[in-house]
Amino acid sequence: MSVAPESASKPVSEEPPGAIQCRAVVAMVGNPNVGKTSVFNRLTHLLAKTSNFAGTTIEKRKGVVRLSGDDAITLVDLPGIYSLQASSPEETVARDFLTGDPDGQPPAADRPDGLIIVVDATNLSRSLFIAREVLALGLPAIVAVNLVESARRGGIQIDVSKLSQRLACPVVGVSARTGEGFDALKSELQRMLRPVLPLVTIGGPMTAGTESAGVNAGDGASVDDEAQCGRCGGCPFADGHRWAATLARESTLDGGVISDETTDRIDAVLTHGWVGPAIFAAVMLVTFSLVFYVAQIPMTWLDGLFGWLADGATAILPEGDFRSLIVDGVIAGVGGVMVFLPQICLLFFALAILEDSGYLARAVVVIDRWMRRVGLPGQAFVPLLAAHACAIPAIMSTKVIANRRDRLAAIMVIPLMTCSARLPVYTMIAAMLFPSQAIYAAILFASAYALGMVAAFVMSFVFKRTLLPGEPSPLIMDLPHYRTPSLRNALRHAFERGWMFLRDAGTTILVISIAIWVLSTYPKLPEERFAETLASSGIVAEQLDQTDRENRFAAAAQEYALIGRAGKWVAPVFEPLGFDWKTSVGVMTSFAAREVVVSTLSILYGLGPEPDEDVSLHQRLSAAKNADGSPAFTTATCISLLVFFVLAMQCLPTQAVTKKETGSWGWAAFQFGYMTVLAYTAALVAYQVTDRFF
Amino acid sequence: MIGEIALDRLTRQSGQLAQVGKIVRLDLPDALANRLKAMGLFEGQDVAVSRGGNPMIVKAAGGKIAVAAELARQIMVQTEMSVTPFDRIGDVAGVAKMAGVAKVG
Repeated sequence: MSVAPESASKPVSEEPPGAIQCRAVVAMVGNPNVGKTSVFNRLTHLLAKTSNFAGTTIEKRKGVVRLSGDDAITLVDLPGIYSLQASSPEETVARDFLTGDPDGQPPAADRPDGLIIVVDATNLSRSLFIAREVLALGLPAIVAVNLVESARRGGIQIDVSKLSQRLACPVVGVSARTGEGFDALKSELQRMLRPVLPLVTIGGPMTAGTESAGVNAGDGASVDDEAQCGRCGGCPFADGHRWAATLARESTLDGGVISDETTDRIDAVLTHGWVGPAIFAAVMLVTFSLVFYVAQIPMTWLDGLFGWLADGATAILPEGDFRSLIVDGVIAGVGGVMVFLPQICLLFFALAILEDSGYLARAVVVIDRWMRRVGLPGQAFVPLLAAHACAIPAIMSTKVIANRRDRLAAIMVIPLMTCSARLPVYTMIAAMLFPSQAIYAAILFASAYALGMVAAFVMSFVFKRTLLPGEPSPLIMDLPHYRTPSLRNALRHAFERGWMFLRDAGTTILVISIAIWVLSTYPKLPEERFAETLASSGIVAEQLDQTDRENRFAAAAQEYALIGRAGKWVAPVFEPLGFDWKTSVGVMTSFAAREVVVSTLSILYGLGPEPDEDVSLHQRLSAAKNADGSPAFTTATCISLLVFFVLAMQCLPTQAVTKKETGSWGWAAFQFGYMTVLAYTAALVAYQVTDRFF
Repeated sequence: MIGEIALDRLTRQSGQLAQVGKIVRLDLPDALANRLKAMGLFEGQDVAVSRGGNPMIVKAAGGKIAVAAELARQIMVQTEMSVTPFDRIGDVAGVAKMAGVAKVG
């Protein structure tokens, strides 16, 4: 409902071949928190392609803006920056994009033909600083004064024509929330890219071309002169900020300084010594409960959809290996992971709302002190929270951490957080341990979550002392004004994250699903061999009903296949943890995706691939006996299994993303290695201790 | 009384008064100093403390910036008064007015 109708009425325009070359490129520049992305989203009708700037992990968003007639431009959203001094990776990327690479390499193919500089009407003096640096580059530019509508509500009127005179470029007041001023912005864009038209005659804003230098000189020097002064190591920052402050004062009609008494009062509470953390905990708890609760609904639909697909494929395809590959390998494997998509989208939707409102910056202030003690920067808390849905988008979102050491530390510990894929395993174990005690089951869940978090902080502390020495880079963060969050942006953000998850994880998941299917299908169990197995255990095949026979066959086939053999082969390794060989096979099959263990155990214990109810599985598991007649799943085994699954790195798609984001398989391998050792050791201790006392 | 103290010392000592000062020096590596300057914490800028502690929150150039205490320790400010003319926490308009006056002068 909150997606503006025009995004529906304007179809996704596939770029006609060859059109990219001749289309003008316009880059958007501005501070973080000035609503640059909102302006971008409105101009491009929420259609953007996300990629990285070459050789970096900084996101580059690109979209097409339709102007009147057949005109269109490519719009590139540069990262939010405070200056072009290149003191951060974002600034370096933005500067290189605008000026061409300083190392003499040819400029990027999509070097901009023009610029949109976005400034914040509620804080002109701060946001104009970058405008001066950027205007000095000499590219054609338009200044978009965003948030005019909220400034107006705060009693601030921006004198757009005066600002335009002083800056010597067109200035348009816009509001990305209401859409105000966007028609004007688009016609300015069109005008800017058509130098054929005599600029000076067009009207108000443009007439200032000649006199502006003089006006600027009133503040000291013209834009160009001052930029040169910056090069000679004078005082470019002080000059720039004073210029911006003066300009802001002069082009603001009434009101002047926005009253931020309300902001102050809210901040006093939200960043208070102990009230702040308490509110933080409450906000996160409510957000998460809501996300997980609401996500259940679409997850059921998706589950149904994949079930329907599997049924459909079963009906259409002839029985045989190919059908099995499609149904049990591709549909079941991909469906098992895609089911988490609603959670991921909803979580990022909620986080976008929190960020847009201005709260997230305060949360970082509150949490930074605690995170720092274990060697993580405050900004890492967003990825760490997101990891509770899925580690993949969480690792992708560590892009917000500029410092490489800090980012690596965060990526390394993210998979220790309890992701949604662990929940089926927790559920199974809780059902075995506490079949009818919901309270204890809830405590078990909470402990598993806590164990993951504690392990993440402990490991991060260990890394700080060993592998990744040093302190996280000190916090410098802008605290934006509180704002009403934009649903439109949040939807856009959620969609983008979901799409990144599908795009980056999708192919990996497909390949892994097929590989696991091959390993658990071949070599195939010959019928006569199955008959022998039955006979040797004293079962008369003819007495079994059809389903029972099929389930027993599935169990025997799994045992006979490569993965079963591997499981039996490694079984002695897992024996000290209290796992029998069937559980060891489960651990093997779940190394690619942890939730697989549930279906593997279900098959191995003769329930067939899809038991009707979880209840039947836990009953079967609880009743399972070892060869000597003792129960296979004692309390100690269950605890040990739980601890192992909390801590182990059993997710190949995550490994692929770690490789991509760190740039090396080395880090992915290290992550796998340390987590496996940690999980094994912790499960061993858990088993030996609980076995002694229970 | 005019004195030069580190920014992290410039807190609301009594819990009553907004403390203001003028930045005189940033004893920090260039990359960090430039980031702070770009965000509005440059030599000559008037700042007001909004919240002490770590990280502290300072007001400057019309915005609020959270700064780690270890950085604030290296930012030297000149303060003319230990008691400001404003008797309310959050008398931002007053601080801004003063900042404005300072700039014009």
